[in-house]
Amino acid sequence: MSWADVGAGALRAAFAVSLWGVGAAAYAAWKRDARALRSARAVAIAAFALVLLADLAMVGALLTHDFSLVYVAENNARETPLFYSAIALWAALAGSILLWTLILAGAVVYVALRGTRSLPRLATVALAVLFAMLSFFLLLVTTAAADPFTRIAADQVPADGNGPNPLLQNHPLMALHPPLLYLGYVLTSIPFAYAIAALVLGETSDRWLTETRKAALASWALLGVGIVAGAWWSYAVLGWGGYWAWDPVENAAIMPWLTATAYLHSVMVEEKRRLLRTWNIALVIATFALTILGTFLTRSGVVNSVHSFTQSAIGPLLLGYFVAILVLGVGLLLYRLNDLTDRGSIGAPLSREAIFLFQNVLFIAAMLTVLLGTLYPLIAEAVSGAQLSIGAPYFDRVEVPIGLALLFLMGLGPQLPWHGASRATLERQFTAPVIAAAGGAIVAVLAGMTGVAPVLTYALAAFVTATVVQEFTRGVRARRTLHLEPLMAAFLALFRRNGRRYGGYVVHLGIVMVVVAIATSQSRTTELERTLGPGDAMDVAGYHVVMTGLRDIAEPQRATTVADLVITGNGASEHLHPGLVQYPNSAQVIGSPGIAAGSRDDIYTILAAYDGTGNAWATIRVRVIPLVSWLWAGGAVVGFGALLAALPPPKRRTILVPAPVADAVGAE
Amino acid sequence: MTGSSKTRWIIVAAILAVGLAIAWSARPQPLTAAEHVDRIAAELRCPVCQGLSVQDSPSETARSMRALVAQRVAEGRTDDEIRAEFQRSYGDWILLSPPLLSPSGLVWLAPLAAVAAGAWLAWRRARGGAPVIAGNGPTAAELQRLRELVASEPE
Repeated sequence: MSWADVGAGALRAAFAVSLWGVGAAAYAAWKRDARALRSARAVAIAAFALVLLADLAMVGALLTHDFSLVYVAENNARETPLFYSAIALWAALAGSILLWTLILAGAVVYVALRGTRSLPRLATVALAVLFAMLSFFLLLVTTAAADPFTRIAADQVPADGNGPNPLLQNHPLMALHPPLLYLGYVLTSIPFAYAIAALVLGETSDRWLTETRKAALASWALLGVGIVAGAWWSYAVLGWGGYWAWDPVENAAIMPWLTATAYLHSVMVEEKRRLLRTWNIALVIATFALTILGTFLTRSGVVNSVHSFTQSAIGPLLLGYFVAILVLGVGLLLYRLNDLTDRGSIGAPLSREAIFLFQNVLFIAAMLTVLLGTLYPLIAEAVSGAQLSIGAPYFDRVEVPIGLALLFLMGLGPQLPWHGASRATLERQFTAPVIAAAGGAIVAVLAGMTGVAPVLTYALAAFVTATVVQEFTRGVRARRTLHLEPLMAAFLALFRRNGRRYGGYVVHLGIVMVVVAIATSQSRTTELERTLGPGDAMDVAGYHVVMTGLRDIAEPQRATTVADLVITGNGASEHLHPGLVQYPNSAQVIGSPGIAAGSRDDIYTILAAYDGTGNAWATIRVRVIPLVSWLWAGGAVVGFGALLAALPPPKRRTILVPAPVADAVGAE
Repeated sequence: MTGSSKTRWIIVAAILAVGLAIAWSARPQPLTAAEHVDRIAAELRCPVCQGLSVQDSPSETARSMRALVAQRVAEGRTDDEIRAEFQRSYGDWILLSPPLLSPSGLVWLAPLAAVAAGAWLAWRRARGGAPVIAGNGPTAAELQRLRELVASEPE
């Protein structure tokens, strides 16, 4: 039996089992049948085990270089190192859909085992929805659309494979970035499935929303961290010294993150005041639909060229899936609209809930801008045949002002009380932050920043930081007074007692680090390009760069030419080796930058060209990029803050509550 | 001077400082030739890359386009003339953002319209007055009876 037999067989069995799961879960919800529910649970585990087996079979085929599989022959070679062979599971379309399917099967198991204990009926319907999604993905991987186990005719099996795309075997971050992003994408389906279940059952309480809080938070955090990891990969591999190019693939990832961020905030308005219920369901549907739209745009080839649309079988299927989700979601939402109408209104523009509302407007505008900018060239070409580009200059000009407005609201919102603020409250909350903002602006000017956006970014970053520091000092002081706790214990107790709030502040600090890194690196990068012979030197931003030599390195899977650079100055002493890499399967030469990362600035060196005949000269481009490593660190802080926010609240001691509240709780 | 009005002055002064810093950072500054070239190159698409600008791309094509921009800047051509030259040779596709005054200027207006419409809707909701408690208030008859009860209460 070959890997292909095992994998293809497992996927077909999983498909059958998953279809059974749809029926069993739907029947269990309809008839409140415990046996059907038990069956659906068992089937969830079976489906996961089968998909896991298929994924392992694919990894096995890659590790043993089984070139009788099209996927292995195209994405692996005998010389491919073990590590890159294994992660070639997600190096191309069919394999990445296989990984996606595995994560989705994991989500099914999670809801089957955990969800159906706490909220049987709602979770059972959600389980049926998730089984239906799993069935769709299993349909993709068992038909020509994205079958990873397609075989090559026995007499045509090549002796060696193509090897992975050169860009995907150049950096270990490839092991991290795609799985994180897929986890984030797939986990958005849990809140979606619960929202659909709530609509189907006409369940108007917001229990679906508290029940999926962790999944929503996890998917948001994983998407965010995955996006930052992708930016880091792009920075370390693509060799142009940037990390974000508003490429369609990047846009596809940022869109659901924007709506998910809006949701994480507006959901608090529903929990606190039972408002915005329709809006929150709409955001959950939009977030999930955008993950599928993004996958469609980037996986069907429709973005790079409109003409490859008909060639790929997965394109129409994903488009159909997207339309089905939208029709189902929007249709159900309209059907239940009357039950979900808000009673009451926000009432005060200077209240926390109003700021959340304005923040939502900006996040949606930001998302629509990305969507429009990504789709407009396609639409224009389809309508009038005109070819035009929409790139960084457009997105920067529109998104930077929106981002700055959001940064302002990030400082404003958490400091305003619910229901509205008095003038005295405003003064108490904002005196220190506004002074900090002035400090930030002055620091930016003294540091020689030019342009409105960077200076305003510094001012607002200081503003937000001050609000967070103020919250922590007040929280710690209150605990020290009330509970007589020592400083550190009081600080930690804030997270233990109210992880959601204080974890959220940590997330805000991470975002501040990210925006400061972006503003500084975008406006203060110094670049110099020189053609040097061995022993020649150049000076950039206080660094002295000497090229000591140029040499060729031969490895089984690639040939590399590197320049040896010795860099001194600003207290640094670094040896960097930017190179140009030639893989046998690619006509294009891949740049491999040499990077010395630092907390103050990164020295980013590129070998732009060299003398191919005698290694007598090389053209070296040096970019000194300040604070860029804060971006990756900021991403990590965001992830850490999300973890803190997911901490379970402490067990409550029994407290006496007034009778009406006790009745309401008991009734649930 | 009361404590509160002192705080108010501090806040006003701090906001003023931010405004001044921003005004200072926005003052018109003469561009160096390299900055001028950068500005134009950032608006041009590198034809052989995946969505990178001529400024960002390390490719050979982008380097020669950049050299051409530098040459035109040195000749004293205006930005519009230089852009128009590239547009003639490569088509509209070469510009990374569509001009405002063109059919595609729509893409600039749409986000603005989205923010304006959204902010207006949000503002209306946020100003919607205090939540109304429906139904359960005392009726006129009940009020009358309450008054009678209060009136008949012994002193």
